[in-house]
Amino acid sequence: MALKRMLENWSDLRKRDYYEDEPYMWGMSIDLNKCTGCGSCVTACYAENNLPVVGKERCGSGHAMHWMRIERYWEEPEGETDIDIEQSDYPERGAHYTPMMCQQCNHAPCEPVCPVAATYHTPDGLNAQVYNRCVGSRYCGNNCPYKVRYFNFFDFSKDIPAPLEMQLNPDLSVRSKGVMEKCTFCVQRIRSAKDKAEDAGHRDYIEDGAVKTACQQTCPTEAIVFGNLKDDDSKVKTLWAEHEVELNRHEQEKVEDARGYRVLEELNVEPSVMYLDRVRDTEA
Amino acid sequence: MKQDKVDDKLASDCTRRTFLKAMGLGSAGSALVLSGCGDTDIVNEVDIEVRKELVLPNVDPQDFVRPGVEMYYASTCRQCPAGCGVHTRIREGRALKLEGNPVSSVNKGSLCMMGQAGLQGHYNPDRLTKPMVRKGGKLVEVSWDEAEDTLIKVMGRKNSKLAWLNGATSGHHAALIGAYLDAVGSKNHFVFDTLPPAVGHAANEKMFSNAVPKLALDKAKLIVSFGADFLGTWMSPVQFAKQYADFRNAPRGTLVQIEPKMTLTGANADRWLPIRPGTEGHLALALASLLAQDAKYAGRVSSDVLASLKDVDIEAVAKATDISAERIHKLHHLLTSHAPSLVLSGSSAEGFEHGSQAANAILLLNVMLDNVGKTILPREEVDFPDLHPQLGGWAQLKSFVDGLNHGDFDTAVVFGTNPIYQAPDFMGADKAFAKAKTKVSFSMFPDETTMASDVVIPIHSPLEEWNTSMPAYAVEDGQLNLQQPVMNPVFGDDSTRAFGDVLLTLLQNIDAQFKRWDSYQTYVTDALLTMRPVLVNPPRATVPGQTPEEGFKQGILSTGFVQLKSKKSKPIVAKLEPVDLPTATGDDAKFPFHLVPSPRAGLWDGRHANLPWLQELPDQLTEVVWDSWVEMHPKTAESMGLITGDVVNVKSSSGSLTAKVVVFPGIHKNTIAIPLGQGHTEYGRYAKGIGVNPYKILNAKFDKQTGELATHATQVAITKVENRGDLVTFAHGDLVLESNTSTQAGREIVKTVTAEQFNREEKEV
Ligand code: SF4
Ligand code: SF4
Repeated sequence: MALKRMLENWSDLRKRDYYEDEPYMWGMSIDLNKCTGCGSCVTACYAENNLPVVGKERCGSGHAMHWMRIERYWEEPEGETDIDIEQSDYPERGAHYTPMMCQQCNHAPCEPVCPVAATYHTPDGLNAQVYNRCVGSRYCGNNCPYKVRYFNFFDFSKDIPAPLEMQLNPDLSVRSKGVMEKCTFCVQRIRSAKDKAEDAGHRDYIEDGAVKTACQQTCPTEAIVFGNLKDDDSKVKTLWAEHEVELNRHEQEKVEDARGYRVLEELNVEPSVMYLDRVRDTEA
Repeated sequence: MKQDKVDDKLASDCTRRTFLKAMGLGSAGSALVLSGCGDTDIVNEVDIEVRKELVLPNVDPQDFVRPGVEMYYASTCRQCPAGCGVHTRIREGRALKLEGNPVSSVNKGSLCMMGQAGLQGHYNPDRLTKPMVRKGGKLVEVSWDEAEDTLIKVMGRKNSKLAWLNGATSGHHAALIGAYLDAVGSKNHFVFDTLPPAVGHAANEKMFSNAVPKLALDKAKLIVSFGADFLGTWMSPVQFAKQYADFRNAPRGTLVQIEPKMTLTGANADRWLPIRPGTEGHLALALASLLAQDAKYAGRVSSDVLASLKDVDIEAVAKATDISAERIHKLHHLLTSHAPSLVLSGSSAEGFEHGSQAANAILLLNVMLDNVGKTILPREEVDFPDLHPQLGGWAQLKSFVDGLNHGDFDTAVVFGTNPIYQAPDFMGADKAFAKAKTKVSFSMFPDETTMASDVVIPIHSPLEEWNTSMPAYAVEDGQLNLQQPVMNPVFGDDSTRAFGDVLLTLLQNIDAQFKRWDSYQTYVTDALLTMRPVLVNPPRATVPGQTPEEGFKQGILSTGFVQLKSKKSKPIVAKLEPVDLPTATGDDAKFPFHLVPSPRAGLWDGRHANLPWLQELPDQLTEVVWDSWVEMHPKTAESMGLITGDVVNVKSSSGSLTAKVVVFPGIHKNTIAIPLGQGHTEYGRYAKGIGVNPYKILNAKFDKQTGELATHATQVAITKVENRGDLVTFAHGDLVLESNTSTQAGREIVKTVTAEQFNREEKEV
């Protein structure tokens, strides 16, 4: 039956569009010219999303639960003209930082491999995770090119000593052993903004800026911008347009001088996060 | 108290003035707006009883518990002296999340990781919940009645031999502490905080007559920073990060960072230059001498200063600093081709015996480059010096310890600082502290100093108490931040108490005029109401039926701060002195490495080691978690046969410690760095027993001019103890043990363009 329907509607289903009638498509922009790699966003995420602290030993076995992490690389920047830089024993152009979390791919490699459809795509563009459905196969984590899915190998919540548990955010669950979790674009904040908008009488419209993700909210340099890519006036949409990054386009031609890109875009996973190039003054 | 009685008490101006003084509203003398004869007596305007009711009790349960509905309360972050404004998210009477207050000029809506983790201090499982008194050599929990009796016995009387040590403070805590010390007749007030740059403040005061001038990073086209980690641990990191973001907009400003160990700011520099520790001043002087060759720059300084720039030999400086002559000339060119610029002096340049002179040489560049008045601006005059920030420094800690050693003090009171943990071993702070007959600690946590005290008073967290404070580095002069309890005390009513309340009760025992206020809350509120005439736009009643006082109080509580009127001050006229630097000395054969004790944005000076979120937040540079380590350059490590994880012994002439090596490219080859923050012997389950504190092995060297501890002047030797230990570092998300392998492996995760391209592109958009 399902197959029949699929074949009948093949051309419709193959149409490359994301829920045409849906008013929301959540997206993000991270400006690496501004991000300093301080990690405030990481801690804000712990506070907002009930992320457990796992301790040194478990960090050592790769069990840290940081939905957002700061990656730091030492590398020669491209386009370097100064010969001294290459010959130097020191990273004279500083470090390369980038915040990394679930990119909310629209062709998410994690989704089709889940045997129980615990991870699926929402109409507003989120890669959602149903904790109650998750059986812990960890196929999704295995298939994620960004390595941003985190598995609860233990019942971390049992280790929270009183009264620290009073800080837990009641808007989302405390996960237990055996389920996979990851960045949700602070879905609880999106839900609450939607509810508020509906209470105020507009079903299909959330004002730009009414939902801020926890990382965006705290970032001292305002490097992170979050919002609705379907809202042409939203800041995030403006940024995507300015830097010539678009969803629903197989290959983003890298326009000369445009700083926007999506990490590992060549995998065609259609991430919802645009990064803006890091900048260095090579004259210095 | 009846109104007429109050009036009696306030009969004379004199009394009125003492009341003002008691509220920290004593005047510096110039702007006597509140006191003096004839002006409206604001204090008498409102009945005291009424006023008490008017203080909006945000601990009112009905206000807190509206099931399922979140509310935000404005308050102030107290995790560091910067004083960012916060909004606390409350649901069902619990504080759940801290967010930046968008209208606070300090942080404009953002918070740093330490601010975020403030909640874990508030809900910390190791918080002190009962007063303790030492009996038979052991601290035992006692009732509040007993604790109060003991306190009154040891602190509730005149005692010129009482010594008081507190961390950086300001606002009404500072005012009340001052009032208390006046009342007991003690002149022994010491302020000690680890990171405020005391040497730099003194140098700025000397040269610019402004200890903490306003810096306009966003207006500069070029910032050359000698070790000022303004994005991480310098004065007001969130505020500077905001300015930095503007600075990086097109046309994009250029940042050059010169320091022996890469800081977070260094990691974001366009050019990071590793310099041999202790030669920062010499490099600055070389740059000054190059500038002085041009009459345009030379004309801005006096002839005696010019004379001191005459015989600088660039080649010799290049040799001493390990910065090539060519690079020095290029730096000179950068400075002359960007105006206005801003040259900053930070702790890694100032932590030497010649620290003041190094700062002097560095700041001199600003004068020659005509940055004063453009990127370095004067502070406005704000009255009420009792409320101004007291930042203190190592010199005051030393006086405190010296006094204890000489037996000058019989009672030592410590609040908001932890000298026994911080002080280097050579100071013998623990032994000196033990010499005081009675030691009192006001603390939230069982830290090292608290556990060595005789009377321990468990105090409220900043989210449980009323208070005011002034930011250590104000953006708008005269901002007085407010704190209000955002929820009921976590451990119930009979557990912790507000520091202000305990001190006020003590004061009432010595000085009857303080009986006028029945709690610290009324004291603070009274002061704020009294200040109304000197505030910029004090809030008024907005709802019909509200009295002006109600409107005012509601207004200030929802804003989270008030703004005192300030007076424009004169433009800065720099006072210059010739720079007098010692000749740079070569390496010490016995102790070949310079030791940099590096503060971390996160654990800070160790005060946040008990917050698990911050222990698990990887160090921004090495990505290590839950540990202490020794940063070492790959070449140096190679020559010594060391790899990441190897355990080494680090020895100075004052002591030694053991930690694991992290091979790290961002450090001068003759230098090692050990981060601050760990090495606690007390301080609860998350902090105790982890790592080492590099301060412990510092040598007894002090800045010659200010007497501040020369934190960067210690040299050490290193020997291998054993092979790889259990160090945990995240490098690029995957777990690798050697940080020098952490490249992007061609994956283009972080891409880079040049500033020129960036400016061109931004112009198009
Ligand atoms: S808080 Fe902002 S500046 Fe800091 S690491 Fe995160 S994105 Fe970067
Ligand atoms: S900079 Fe200081 S005051 Fe501001 S959020 Fe961070 S810890 Fe709090």
